[in-house]
Amino acid sequence: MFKSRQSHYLHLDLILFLLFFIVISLLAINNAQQLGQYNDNFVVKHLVFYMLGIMLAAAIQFVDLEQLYKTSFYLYILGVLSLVILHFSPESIAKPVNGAKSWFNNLPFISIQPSEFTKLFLILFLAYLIFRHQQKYAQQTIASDLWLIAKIFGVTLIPAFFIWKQPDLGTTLVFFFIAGILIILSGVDWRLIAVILTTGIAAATAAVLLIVNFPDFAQNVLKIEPHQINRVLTWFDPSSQDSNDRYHLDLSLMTVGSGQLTGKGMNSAQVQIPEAHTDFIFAIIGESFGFVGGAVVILVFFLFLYRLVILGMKSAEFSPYASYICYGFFALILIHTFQNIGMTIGIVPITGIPLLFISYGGSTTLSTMMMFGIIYRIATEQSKQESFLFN
Amino acid sequence: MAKKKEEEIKIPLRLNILFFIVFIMFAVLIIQLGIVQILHGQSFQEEIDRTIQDISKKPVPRGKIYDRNGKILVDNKPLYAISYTPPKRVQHDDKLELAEQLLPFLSVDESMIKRLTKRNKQEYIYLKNKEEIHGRLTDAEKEALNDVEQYKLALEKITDEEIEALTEEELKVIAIKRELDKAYALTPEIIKNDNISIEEYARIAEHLSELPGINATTDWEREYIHGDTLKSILGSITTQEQGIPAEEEDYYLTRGYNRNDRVGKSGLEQAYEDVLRGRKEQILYTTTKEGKVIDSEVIVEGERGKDLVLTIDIDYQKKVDEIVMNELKKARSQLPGPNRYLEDALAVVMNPKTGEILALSAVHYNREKNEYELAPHKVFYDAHRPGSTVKGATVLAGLQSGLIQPGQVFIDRPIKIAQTPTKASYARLGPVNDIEALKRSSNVYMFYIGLRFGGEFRHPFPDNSGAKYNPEGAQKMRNYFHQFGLGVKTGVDFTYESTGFVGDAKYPGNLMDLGIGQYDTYTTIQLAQYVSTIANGGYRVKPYLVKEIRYPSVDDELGPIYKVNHPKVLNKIDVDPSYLKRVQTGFWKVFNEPGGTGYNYWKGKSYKPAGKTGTAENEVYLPDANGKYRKVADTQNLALVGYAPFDDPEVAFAIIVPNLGDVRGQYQINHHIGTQIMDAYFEQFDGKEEEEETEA
Repeated sequence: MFKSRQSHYLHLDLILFLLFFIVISLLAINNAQQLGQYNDNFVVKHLVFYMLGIMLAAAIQFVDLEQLYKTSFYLYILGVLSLVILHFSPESIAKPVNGAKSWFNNLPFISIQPSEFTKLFLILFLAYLIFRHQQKYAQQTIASDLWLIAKIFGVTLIPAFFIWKQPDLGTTLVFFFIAGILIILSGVDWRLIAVILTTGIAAATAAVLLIVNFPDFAQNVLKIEPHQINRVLTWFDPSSQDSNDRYHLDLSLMTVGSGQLTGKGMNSAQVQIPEAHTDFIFAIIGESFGFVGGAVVILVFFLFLYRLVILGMKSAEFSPYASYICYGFFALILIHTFQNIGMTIGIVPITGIPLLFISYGGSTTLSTMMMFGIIYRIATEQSKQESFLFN
Repeated sequence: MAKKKEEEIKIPLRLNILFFIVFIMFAVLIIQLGIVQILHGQSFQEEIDRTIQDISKKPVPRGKIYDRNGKILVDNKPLYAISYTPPKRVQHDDKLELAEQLLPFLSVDESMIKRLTKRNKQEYIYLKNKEEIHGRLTDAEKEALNDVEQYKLALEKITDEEIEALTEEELKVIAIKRELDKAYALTPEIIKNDNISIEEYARIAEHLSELPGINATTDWEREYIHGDTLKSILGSITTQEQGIPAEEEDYYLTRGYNRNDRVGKSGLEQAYEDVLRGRKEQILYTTTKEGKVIDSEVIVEGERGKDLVLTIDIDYQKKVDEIVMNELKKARSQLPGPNRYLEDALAVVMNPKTGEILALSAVHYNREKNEYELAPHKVFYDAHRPGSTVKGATVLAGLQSGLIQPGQVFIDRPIKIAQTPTKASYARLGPVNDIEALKRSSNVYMFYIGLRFGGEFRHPFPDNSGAKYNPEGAQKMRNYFHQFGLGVKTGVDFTYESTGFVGDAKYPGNLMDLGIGQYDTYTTIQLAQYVSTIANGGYRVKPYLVKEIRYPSVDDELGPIYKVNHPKVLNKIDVDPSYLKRVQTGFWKVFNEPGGTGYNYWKGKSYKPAGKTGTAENEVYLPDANGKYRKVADTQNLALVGYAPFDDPEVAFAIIVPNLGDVRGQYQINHHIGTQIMDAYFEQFDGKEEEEETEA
């Protein structure tokens, strides 16, 4: 029992996950800038972000779950406010990058992408919301379930709207994915879920079919951005488009594919691919470390997700709030990982969402490390509670 | 409590289902990763390794042109030049940056700035303020138009004020960029080669490392050393701006030319383009897909164009030009009234045995400018009635066809055919044989030959009766003429030669006129070939201008011989040598016996000349106020053919001076030119010819 008391604060598995991600991330970013296309050294900068993130995560260990619970609402408001402010900011402090106004930049020294933090705050607040709801409506009815679903959507819709206006469709969809997973795991009646899922799938199918068959209508009447239409078209029929996306996908496939079984090793990048250190980092991993390396990274993400689900299940016994947080993070990492790696190897359309823990980026790394800190804190709490039960 | 229990089971069940889906999703990722990397990995790697090979051609200087003695006629004047060789996939931004870098080094002429179009300026302003100008498009326009259309529209949104506001410096940058834009990837383009000072050249040479693609090099400019002399024969080339002629683009491109290559567009420059152009240096560049050059290898060594050595003797050419010009001036000034329609004097001097053209001269009086100009191509282009000079061919046609016998006598008195103007010689010459007929230039003798070709054999022809006439006779006679080069191409190695006018010869009078050079027209070079054929004993030799083609040499000496244009006999006159002798004798008597039509001018010449005079009646037609051509004057053409020495001819000549006034006491310009160019020839070449002969 001595041993287990020691381990309340030390979660070797989580630390190993993190170490693995940091090492892979730094190696991949290093290889991504081999072709001399950038003036900055992103490895060093990324390491600095990680250091800051680890400090942030460490600080979170001193926060009680109760305190986190109480601040959830305020953090959510902070997240939404930052998006609103960004939306109305002049270009002097929020200059669009690649056509999307997603960053506060031109500030001294730093640039911030608020949506990355809002994502985190939304998960905290949704967990709070579901927990509060279940306390209030101990007797579950269809009506109460509907009310819960409405609240979850309402809360998600506000930040999602501003992100959609940036425009950043990828992140918007991430928000809805998180909300959807939390609805499923909040325990609402399966029939409602079936209805929502059916509607959602039908709507998505209809949208894709509409875009594929009537791209002009989609663009002119539904006001969908042309580049988004192109992405869907490229993905749906790779030979039909000779667009920029097709070019990106070709480059990405060439980069990943040429890694073959065991990769080219360090410092041997051959293909210059845009955004290699950020959104297309997995292409570099595939090129450098081959199928073996790529599959290991995917597996580690899978194990990490498994760890999160287990943690969530175990936390449910002492704090449903904590378990919903775990599920939220599970959803977040799942969608980022699947979408990012999937687009790199050509099974989903290209969107600009990063591979968490691995892609270069200040805001993403900081928010991911805050999330990691919270997970670690929950793991500690869970470990403590477990020992109480057995002692 | 039951509720609580249910809750506890429900969530793990959903999590299990969810996690199973996650498992499927990740399995799909790994399977797809395997497909991309293991199944297709090899081909992706091959695609990366695939390189692109391009051949770039570097131009070489053109071949030079020399006269027969190795004196240079056309040279390449070296110029300081700045060239630009763009890499593959060069961006406009990069070129603009380079133009800005070049500005302090390169002086920009006013003319370069004047050539700038509005579009050039708009593009510059766009490049400079891309975001701002693109922002002038409305969202609707951005959505409705593709990138190219958006760009065009954005250019239109640049106001005239903005264009006006461009500074002098900016205009210079635009002018430099315009030059840079002309270059094709990996192919050097001369961006400036005129007015480059040594200082300017040196400054750029020092900074080459900062100026990607720029090189300080040399270019050349075609230099015609003797100015107007032979200019229209030597021809000209296109400028780099003009490049290859657009209408024959495919022809040139398939032969390895670049669009900006200078090519011969007239004269020998065009006729001998194939040898003058030289062989370009070919460099094989290996580039990656991104356009980075990873290897370059010279696969064909460049070689300057080969040199032409002409048959022309430039010193003699200049003398002939001078003689012809002076005589034309004299004829015009001595009888300004009658000779007011006199414009041209044409002369060819060639070797009758080989066909080498020693000199060819045509002087043209330009009425509008009131200037005399050299237009030597006219000896190939312009055809005139040569008058009696062709009588040698007429007599030989008669002898060869058996229509007359050697020594045949006809009585020279006017022939009166019914419904036809009386046809006569300049005087009643009485009975004349073939030789006498040539010596005294009897028209009537030739008329009888003509009549016989038409089927009319009566002699003397009874006055005022009708003559038998078979029009096929004209073709028969012309076929004999063709053997001498009259009425057919002489085969001269020039871009163009005329064959002259051929009448339809409907009446016996036409055929009779044909026999005295009064019907069909011939060029000067045809007459020279004709007289050469008589001089050399019946061989029609091809006249030629290019004697040899030489490999280029490094120094000023001529290089080794690449090809010699040997004399070429086109055909031999199929006639008893004794018949030819009779014609030669007739030609001898013309110049050397009292009573010969040229005796007064040629008597006593030590170089034993022989020849035939000719005077043709001609008419000048000019457009009237309504643009209709009306006859304004009766004129005469004075012609002369000849050769020397009589027994071993080494030089032959033909002269035509068309449209002198038809008056008594006309200035005999043909003899004046003829005697002077022969005198000049023997003055210059006497004794020298011996050496050449042993050499040959």
